[in-house]
Amino acid sequence: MVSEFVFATVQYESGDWDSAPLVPANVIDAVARYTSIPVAPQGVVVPLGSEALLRYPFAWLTGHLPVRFTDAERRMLARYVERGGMLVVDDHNHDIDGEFHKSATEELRRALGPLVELPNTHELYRAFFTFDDGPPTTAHEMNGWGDNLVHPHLTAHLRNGRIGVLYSNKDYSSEWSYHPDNKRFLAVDNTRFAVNLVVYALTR
Amino acid sequence: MTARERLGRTQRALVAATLLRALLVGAAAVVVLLVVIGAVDLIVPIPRIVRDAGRFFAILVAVIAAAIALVPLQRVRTRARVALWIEEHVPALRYALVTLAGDAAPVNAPQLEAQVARVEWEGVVRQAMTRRLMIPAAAMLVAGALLFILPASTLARVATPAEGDSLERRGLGSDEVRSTIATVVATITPPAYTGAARRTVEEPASIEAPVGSRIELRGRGLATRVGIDVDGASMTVGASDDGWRVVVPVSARPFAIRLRDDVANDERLIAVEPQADGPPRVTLASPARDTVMRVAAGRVPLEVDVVDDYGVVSVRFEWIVSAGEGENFEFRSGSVAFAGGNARTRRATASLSLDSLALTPGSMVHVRAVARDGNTVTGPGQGVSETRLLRVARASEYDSIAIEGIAPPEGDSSALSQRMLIMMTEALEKRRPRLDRQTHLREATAIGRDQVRLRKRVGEIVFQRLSGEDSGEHSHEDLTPEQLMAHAAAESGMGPPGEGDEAPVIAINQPLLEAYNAMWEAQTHLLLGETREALPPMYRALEAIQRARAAERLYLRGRPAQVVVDLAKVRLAGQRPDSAGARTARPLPARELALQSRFERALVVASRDARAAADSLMLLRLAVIGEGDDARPAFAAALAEAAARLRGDDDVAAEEALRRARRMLAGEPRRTAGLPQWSGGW
Amino acid sequence: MRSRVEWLLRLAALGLLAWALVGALGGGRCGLRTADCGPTAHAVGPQPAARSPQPGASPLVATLDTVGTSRQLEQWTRRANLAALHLELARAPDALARDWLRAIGRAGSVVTWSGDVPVLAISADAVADPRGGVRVSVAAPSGASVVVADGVGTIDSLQAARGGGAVRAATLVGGVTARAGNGAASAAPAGARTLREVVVLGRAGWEAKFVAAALEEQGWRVAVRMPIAPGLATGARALTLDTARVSAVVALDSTAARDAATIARFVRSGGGVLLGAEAARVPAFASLAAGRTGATTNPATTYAAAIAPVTRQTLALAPIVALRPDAIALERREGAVALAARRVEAGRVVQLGYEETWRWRMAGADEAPDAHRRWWSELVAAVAYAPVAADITPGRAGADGAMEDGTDGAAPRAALVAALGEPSPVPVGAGEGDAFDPSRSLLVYLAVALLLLAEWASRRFRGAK
Repeated sequence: MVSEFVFATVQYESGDWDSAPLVPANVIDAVARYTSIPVAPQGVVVPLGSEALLRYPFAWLTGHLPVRFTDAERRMLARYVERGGMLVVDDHNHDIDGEFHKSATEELRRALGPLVELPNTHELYRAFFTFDDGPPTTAHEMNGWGDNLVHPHLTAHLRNGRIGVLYSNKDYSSEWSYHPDNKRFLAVDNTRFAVNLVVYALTR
Repeated sequence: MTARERLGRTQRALVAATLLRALLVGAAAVVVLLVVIGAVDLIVPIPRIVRDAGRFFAILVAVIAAAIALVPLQRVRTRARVALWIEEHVPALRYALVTLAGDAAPVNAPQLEAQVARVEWEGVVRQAMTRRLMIPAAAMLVAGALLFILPASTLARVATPAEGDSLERRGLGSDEVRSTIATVVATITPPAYTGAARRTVEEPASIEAPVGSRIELRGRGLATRVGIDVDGASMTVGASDDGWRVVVPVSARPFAIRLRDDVANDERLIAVEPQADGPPRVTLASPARDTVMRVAAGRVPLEVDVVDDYGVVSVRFEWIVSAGEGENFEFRSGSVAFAGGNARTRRATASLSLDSLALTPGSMVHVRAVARDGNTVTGPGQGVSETRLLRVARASEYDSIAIEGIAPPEGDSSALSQRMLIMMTEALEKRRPRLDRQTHLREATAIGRDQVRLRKRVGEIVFQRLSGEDSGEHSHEDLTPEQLMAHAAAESGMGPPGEGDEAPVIAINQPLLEAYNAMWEAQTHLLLGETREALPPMYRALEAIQRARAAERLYLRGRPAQVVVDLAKVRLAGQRPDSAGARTARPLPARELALQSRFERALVVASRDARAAADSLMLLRLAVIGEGDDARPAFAAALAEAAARLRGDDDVAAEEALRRARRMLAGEPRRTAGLPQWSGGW
Repeated sequence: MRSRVEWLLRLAALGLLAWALVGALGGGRCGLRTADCGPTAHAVGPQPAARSPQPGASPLVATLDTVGTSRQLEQWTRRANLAALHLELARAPDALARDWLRAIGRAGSVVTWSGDVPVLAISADAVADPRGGVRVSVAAPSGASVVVADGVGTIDSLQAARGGGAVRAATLVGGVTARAGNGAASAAPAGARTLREVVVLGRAGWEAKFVAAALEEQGWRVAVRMPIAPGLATGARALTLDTARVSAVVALDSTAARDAATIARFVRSGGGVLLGAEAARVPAFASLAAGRTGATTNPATTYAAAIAPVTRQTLALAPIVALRPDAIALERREGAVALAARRVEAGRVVQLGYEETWRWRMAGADEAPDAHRRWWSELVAAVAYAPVAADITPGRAGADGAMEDGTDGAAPRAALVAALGEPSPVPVGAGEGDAFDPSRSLLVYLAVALLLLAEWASRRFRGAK
């Protein structure tokens, strides 16, 4: 029995969890394109407060609207991270003054503790492709969308030397929201960082 | 004075004497008992609870003794009995007094009066009273004298026992030879904001106190002899009236206070466990659950219950209004606050006017309550309730208010692709003069194939709605576009669409049908390499798609569309790097290993020195409970119990407690039935 | 007449005294219980130049008194011409008494024994685990209730089955003791083991990730090689497997096949390997595998099973079938072999049938992460090359080899048999209990005193002097 990597999108109660429906396919495509890792061709949606989340040790959470976890979601998130799961949270607004960022970081702090800045020399940035300058910039950062900032770092909650939650202000949800077939129009594939995320999750 | 008068006077004197005697007996009993307790306390320290009991016992004995001393009162209850008593002691009266004391006046009363007048009995009575009072008075004097001799501190300990008065005890022998830390009293003063009372603990082995408290440790003896270490750092010990004194603040982390008297070669350990002030617990009673409304009007009642360890100083309702869709959202927030007070439980109510929020269909209001306590030491703790979501339904949801995420309409991704195709075609048309025919045809054909794929996707949506069949397009491939439109109208039972026709089926499908037909025309030109001729229908298709997107009823409900990746097609198609970064190993579980090592060392010590082992276990407990999220409360509790049992000199209970602590740390020992078949555990 | 009676009384008293005198001068071989005094038992083992007991001498039958053992031994040693000594024992004597008895035997007496001496033996071995731990194995008759304790107190108790039982304790203070009934055995604490690296080989995926994580969290030093693309792997490219650097290899899937020869060499030289179900299917590992890997069964197919917390019992299982003759089934699930082990020359192999054990850690009950970590560490311990460190901590044994806690060594009965031979029946004619020694009997002297008193009283009553 060969275990596949299954991309899981987290469904939470308070906001628009499904704001980036093309991201799963794009990430799956990237993983298949560059690696030999067995991967399911389609992602799944998993409620954050459900035990089913534990069956997917890598999960993606995004949105525009305020994030307010229920008690069950908070508890499940803590269990998930404690057992070795990795959750990637991306601000689809790309706005540090926006309600998603403010509420999501507050909820993560309440559930797990403070987020710390991930140094750009972290092994995440070398897990597959090498990103010497840390997290790659996104189009929305460059075009002044949202907070009009280029965020040089990602933040994370670390557990026993491993990333349990990775938080991004860079709006990869927008960056990767396109049909994977359209990658042929890109000079440089902007989903390569997604490969690093998945390889990191599967090997560290 | 008649005989009766004299008799009355004597009776009164005897009664007074009896009462006085009872008083003296009671007082003497109390004083004697207190003196005895005090004397014992001089030799052996008596715990406060025993002194309290002794005081109560002394009073009880005094009352009983006094009651017994009042028994003779019966004999002086009536004049006749007093007369009898006098007659008994003064025979010369020859029963004249008794006769006169009777109820009826005797016949020879004058003679009897004269006879009685000749006899003087007051002296006998005085002698008898003096004898009765002498002993209790003497006992009272002696006890009083002894009480006077007792040290004042002993007297205070016995008469008014109080917590912490062990320092006042003066035993036999010199203070100089005694250890300065043999007796230690701790007074804990919690921070003012907690409103908790100050308390005193004698001989503390561990102290629990709120963070920010001050612990004053006092003892007897020279301050210069006392050394104190708090969590490894020395502190200066000050002198007090008759001993030494030091004040230790309680920090957020558990720590140990070590006291030393090097002259007496004595050491003791006090473990301090801070009690963190938890944030308030906030329960949002109203709104009780999430709600979807058709019309955002009226007021929403808000109600919250807050409970805190010490006091709630402020409560606030917060809301965030979110409006928008896709990538465009607007956010507004507001709050209403209630400040003041410091009660441990609090209820706050308010109401939220939906009219004032100017909500539009699709808007969402997140409501929650936030409370703060009055912690002035580590900062106010904030508690947050669950969030309730109030949503205004869009018109398209009226027939169903299922709160599921809405996918972007299918038309959106079609528009993007159609736009892309247009851009590619325009770019190709611009390059046409520089390209040879074959190249131009090849590229146009490639765009044409994309256009075909897009047309088919649009066709799937359109024809499924018309016929309910998947890929219903194929059944209509032989129809012209005009026939297709007419067929669509016929299917819906309506005439051909006119200007502004609101027939639902045609209104939903017409733009897409138009887009479909325009794409068909465009693909035809592209496949022939006619890029200039292909552009106009492509523009029409784009415009039709945008119109379809604008139609509200085009919103789909249910889960977002899933794109299934063709793995076989893309597998390893990308350019890989030459090497991947090294994997960093996880840190060794140093904390766990250190805990285990320290615990094992404490176990070894336990077999030799119970008190030292108890100290080691308490220090280990402080390390365990100070680990925040990694704290192991069950193991910490087991350590505390084991330390207490070791101090209690109960070997059996100590062994059981240590066994429990072992199991808490490392789990139950694993038992295997039968001799292992394989080395290593199986 | 009366004077005759008095003379008889005198004679009787004198007779008793004479008998006591004879007893004090070294009789007792034939004691009060007459018997054939020839030797009737034998001692196992090489017999020194022992003198055969003299014909007509009865063996002395005694019960070893645990309180007065030294006194008894002295008496027997001093007794002249002690031809044979048979001991009825309720428990094994301590090392001092045992050696003394053996010396008596070698000095010419034939020492034998009988009795229901408890069969008990104990050994304590350090577990190859970074967090330490000791496995205490106890041999005892099936059904015996055994209490295992160390210097602090009781660790656990167990009911012996199939020859004994074992307890794995995380910590051990001082020596370990096993008591069953009135028998006790003890062992010195085991020396620590030298642990080296564990190499995890598996494709990048949840199983390899969580196996490496579990071992690292337990304290093992872990090296990995996880292929992520052709020619690209996370971790070491080339493997150097030798027992100086590596304790064990965990080969999870077919990606380990390219190093099969290296792994086989490593195992044959003393290393250990854990073969995952998929790896065991690879032909290159056939020479190491304990059996063939069967088809996978997955019990979590019903809705109820799918949403329940995952346990090891509900993991997918590819059972190990067609076990090799030298393989041992370590664990079964519903009759199917889930874990099997075998020795391959100097090394050890454990083959797993469980698949996707990571689901147990992630989706199991609250204790699942700990249980998963410990289980994987135990699997590695079952095969790891982990020699005992040279600096073994000595146990609390006294100068005479006996443990200070009153027990006697790891296998008291075995030691007794080694010293005095197998148990034998009570010698014929020796009777039961101890031989009667009139010189030490108070009764004899009382009887003498009474007789003399009676004689004197009779004389006085009749007026004689």
